[in-house]
Amino acid sequence: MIKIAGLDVRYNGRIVLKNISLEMPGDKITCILGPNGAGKTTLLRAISKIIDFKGSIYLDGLEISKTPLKTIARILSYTSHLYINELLSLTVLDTLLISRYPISKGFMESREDYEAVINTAKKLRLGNMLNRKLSELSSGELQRVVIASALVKNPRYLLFDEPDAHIDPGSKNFIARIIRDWSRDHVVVFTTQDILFGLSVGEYFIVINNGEIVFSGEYRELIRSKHILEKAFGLRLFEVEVNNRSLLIPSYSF
Amino acid sequence: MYLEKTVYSLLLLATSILLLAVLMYFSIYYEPLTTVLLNYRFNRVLSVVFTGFILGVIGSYLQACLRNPLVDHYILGIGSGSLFTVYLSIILFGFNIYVSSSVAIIGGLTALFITISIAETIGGSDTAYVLSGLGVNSLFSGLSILLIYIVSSKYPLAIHLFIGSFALASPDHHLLLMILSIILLSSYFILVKPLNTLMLGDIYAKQLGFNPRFYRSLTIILSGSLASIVVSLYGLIGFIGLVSPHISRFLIKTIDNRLVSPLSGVVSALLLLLTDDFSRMILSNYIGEIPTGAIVSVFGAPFFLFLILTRFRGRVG
Repeated sequence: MIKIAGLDVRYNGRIVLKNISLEMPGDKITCILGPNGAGKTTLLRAISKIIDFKGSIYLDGLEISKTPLKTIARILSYTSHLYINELLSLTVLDTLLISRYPISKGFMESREDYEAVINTAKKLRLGNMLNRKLSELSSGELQRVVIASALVKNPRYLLFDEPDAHIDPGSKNFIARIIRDWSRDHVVVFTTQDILFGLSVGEYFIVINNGEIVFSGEYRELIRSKHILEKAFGLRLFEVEVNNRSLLIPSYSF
Repeated sequence: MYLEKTVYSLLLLATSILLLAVLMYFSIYYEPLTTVLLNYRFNRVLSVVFTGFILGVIGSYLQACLRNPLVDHYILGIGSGSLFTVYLSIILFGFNIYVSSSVAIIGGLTALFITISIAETIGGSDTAYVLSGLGVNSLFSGLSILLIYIVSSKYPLAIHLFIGSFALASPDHHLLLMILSIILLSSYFILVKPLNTLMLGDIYAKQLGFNPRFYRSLTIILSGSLASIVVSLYGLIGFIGLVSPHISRFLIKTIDNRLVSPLSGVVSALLLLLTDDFSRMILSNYIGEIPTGAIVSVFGAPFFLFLILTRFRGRVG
């Protein structure tokens, strides 16, 4: 379980998150929904101790501000986009081996590290492109490398920042399955701007708008209070039923 | 295969060291064999190899920590910045390697700091660093040229520092160069893994438990200081630190700094020794000794232009 109390984050003097208190259950996939610039990324980065914050964040018993970065790196993965430079591009294999550093012991990788990388790569259908450079991959392949980099150290907490950005529906479906599989024995949190993707994958929901939590609760509650989502995103949502599950479909330009 | 690249890199590293040893031998032992000449050649070859090694490793560090394939200590202005303060110190205190290498650090780091600040202000892209470095280099080279006229009367060899030459090699330098190499080798084990995480971006480095700001500053200050000291001894030797990491990455097909940095050091030592031999043995028979720095630029600059071209082709295509 992730527990947050009185979280304040300022960035260049601007308040990005205001006095946030919430809990994310350990046994459900938490989905953070919100429009661009709402503070979703900031929230995940505060939990990962990547940015400075005021307030307290607990990963189960562990208070983040009092925990060294190295310890957090061992138990938590946060993924966002990877930096890519054509002339200095890492291969998929290098990227995944580097992502094992927090839990890898020696100076060079152990056989165990190497095997973990190969297994994770296979699970994400990257087995045949281990020696490809990141700069040569498509967005969908790159997103699978990003997800693999989070999974390869097998941390307890997995925070995915927009795992569905810039990829086609087939790739989204694949990522959704991976997230669901890993949520069985990991605490999974992800952000998205895609309401449909969020509702399909998430089990517990947090809606952020302008740095404030405007909703947190279970699936059914969110469907009942769809007006909150409509207000946050500034559009109309229609409830439809697919396979006995209610979904909210955005209606553009109605 | 497990450790495939490591084994391959180690083999390549061993081969290059062997090649370097053979080249060193033939650069020292050839006719005429008098004690004076042997001593001179030994000093010179040792200086070249140490310098090459240091600049090659530093080149890979700087490129990794700035995530920029187009930089080395010369492009970033460390060279001209330290040269300027070395000249100043010769005017003020006369020539002494320990004084000039200390003030070189001040000049080198100041110039580096200006280059990085301007580059980050104008967007921080690869080319922003090159442009900003160009400006800083012009400023400090210009200032150095002004000072050459005054310096030359006190220390006639000062002009050699401007072009970069090992005609200045002396046994007094070996202790200093050895200390620098030891610092560099010990930093290797502290820096290379964090540098690898930095190549994935600052957010990733931090997520993997390495504070990017700390490791970047550490790398920059270390590389800047060591390069400045080398410049205070042998002057501006550009491009070698730029070219060697690229050759190494190309040879071992990875940009893992654990493997690239040592190989880059050895490759750089090899290249520098080859150019120095070329200047000392071949050119000096026809037109007199040309400073090594000039020859390195003649070969290095086209490579740099080639890199810029591929960089932009990559972006467009």
